[in-house]
Amino acid sequence: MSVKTQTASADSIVCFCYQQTAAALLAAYRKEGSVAGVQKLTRAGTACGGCRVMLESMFGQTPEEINEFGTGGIPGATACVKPGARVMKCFIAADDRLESTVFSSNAVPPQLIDCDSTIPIEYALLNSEGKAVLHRKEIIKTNQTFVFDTRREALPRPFYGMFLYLLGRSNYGASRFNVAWSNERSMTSTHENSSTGRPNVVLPILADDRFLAGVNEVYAAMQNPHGVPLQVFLRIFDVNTNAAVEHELTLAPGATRWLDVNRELYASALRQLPGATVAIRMYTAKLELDFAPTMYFFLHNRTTGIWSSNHL
Amino acid sequence: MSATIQAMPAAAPAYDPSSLAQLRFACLLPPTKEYATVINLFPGNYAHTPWGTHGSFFVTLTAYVEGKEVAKIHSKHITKSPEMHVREQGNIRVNLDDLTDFLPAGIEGMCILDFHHAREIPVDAYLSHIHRQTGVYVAYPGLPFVGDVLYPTTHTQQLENTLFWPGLLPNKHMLMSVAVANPFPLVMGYQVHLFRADGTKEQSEVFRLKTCTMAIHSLEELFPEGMAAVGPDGRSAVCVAAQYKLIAYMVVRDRATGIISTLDHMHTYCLF
Repeated sequence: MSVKTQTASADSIVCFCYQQTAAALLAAYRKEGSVAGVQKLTRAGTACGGCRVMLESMFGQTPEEINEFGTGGIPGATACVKPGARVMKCFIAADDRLESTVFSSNAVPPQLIDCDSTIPIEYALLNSEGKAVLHRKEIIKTNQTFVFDTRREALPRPFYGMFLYLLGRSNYGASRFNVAWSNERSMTSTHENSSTGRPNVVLPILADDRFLAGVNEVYAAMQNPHGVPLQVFLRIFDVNTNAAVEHELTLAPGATRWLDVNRELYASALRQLPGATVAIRMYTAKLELDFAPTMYFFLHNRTTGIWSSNHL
Repeated sequence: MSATIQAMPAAAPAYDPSSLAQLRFACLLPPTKEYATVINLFPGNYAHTPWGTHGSFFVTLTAYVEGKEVAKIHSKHITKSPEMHVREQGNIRVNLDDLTDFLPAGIEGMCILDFHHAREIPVDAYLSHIHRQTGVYVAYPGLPFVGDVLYPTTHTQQLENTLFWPGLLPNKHMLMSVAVANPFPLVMGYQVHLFRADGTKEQSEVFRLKTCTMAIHSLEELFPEGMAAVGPDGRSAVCVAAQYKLIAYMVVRDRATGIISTLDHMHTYCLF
């Protein structure tokens, strides 16, 4: 009986992290002439490291250490830190029902072993009108987690506003942050919203008269992360007929609007669209990312006291 | 706020299947006896410049229990005008009860959403899980894993096999867990890491997950000492590192009833 050795086909993925095929790696080797060159060109073997043994097997050379890559030729850069600055933001509530905790992790992926990702950060809290009520600086060490908790702050209540977090590097790393809204009974959490906004979104919760008479209260936090006022349209529409009630509002730069969706939007629309099942579209006149608000939504269940949340 | 009532706008362009692309999401499927699961989408969420403003969309949900496909259900277009596939008229719904009404024992596992959408318009797929007994309502976006042709640089800008969740806020009523899904046609290995407040780490054993299965790990069971040491401010983080692009969610549940208050995807390590 003869035995045939089957070689991997050229389009087999070798590096799953960067989706590099055997063919692509061979082509890179022909061009660069070394494993280090292959890694530099394709980034293969520079993330989880799982394919390093395959690179060694394919080319007979030991791949470079992971941390030597990812710098992009930027002075001071490492695999996990690129010099620069980046701003993130989220919604903060502090009232008689919810407090807010913001988290940002400065963790380094286990595969990158021992990068030093120590970074300076700055953060500010804007009130509902977009005015800064605090501004601080910290240094966050490698693998540590930043925390801001409204329970520890002397804020005027009820407080609804925007938290701004300036990261002292250009890449997010693991630092994209979460915000948790909690009370003694419940806790819910989601992550920071995109750095721009979304100019055309629909709240994925349908409402009719039965929903309004039920156990769930819907709230939303709409924010303007830009330096110019935003004109925003809230279109409450019948999902079956498309008849709609439309509201228009203006958000000042940095401003936050906390909306009681059941009362301010669903109930008023259902009075004008009797018997309808409605949803809410939020859009701006310019359908562009740089002229878009961000939005979080909340559901409070009156029976259990449990809050849930997410973002649009 | 000022309000006006509007009439129906003009119809959208005709349906054109040749312009469709596919995006795939993997999601938790909580016990259908306890939860109603609904997808309710309005194409157009991302329909804006620079991507475009028109398109056609539909969703197929495939349910898996212990790795076996048990059901497939297609979205409905809730519209009286079949030519209208975008804007409000393009509302598409998948209600899992349409299926589970025929399965008395219910199902629990994971699901894969195949979202067919207009090329060059990125899409989100929001799922809603509604607790039948109490009405607690959780809505969240699914996490995509294959088929996104819109972001060609994603694979070189993010470590997609390493996902993070900053902040582990202790709460005597609520329990935090990570849910990991394997939507790939081969076994996947992964490990969970806890980053403590002082910057030190601990890690779980290496878990292996069969194809089309999902595992949920309570952080308190994985790291009993480490989680007990998390201070009242929650200054800790967790990460899941896997062999391939990873689908992982943070799940927050009521300890007494198991009711979910949070389901949200974890974050990639972003190099950009």
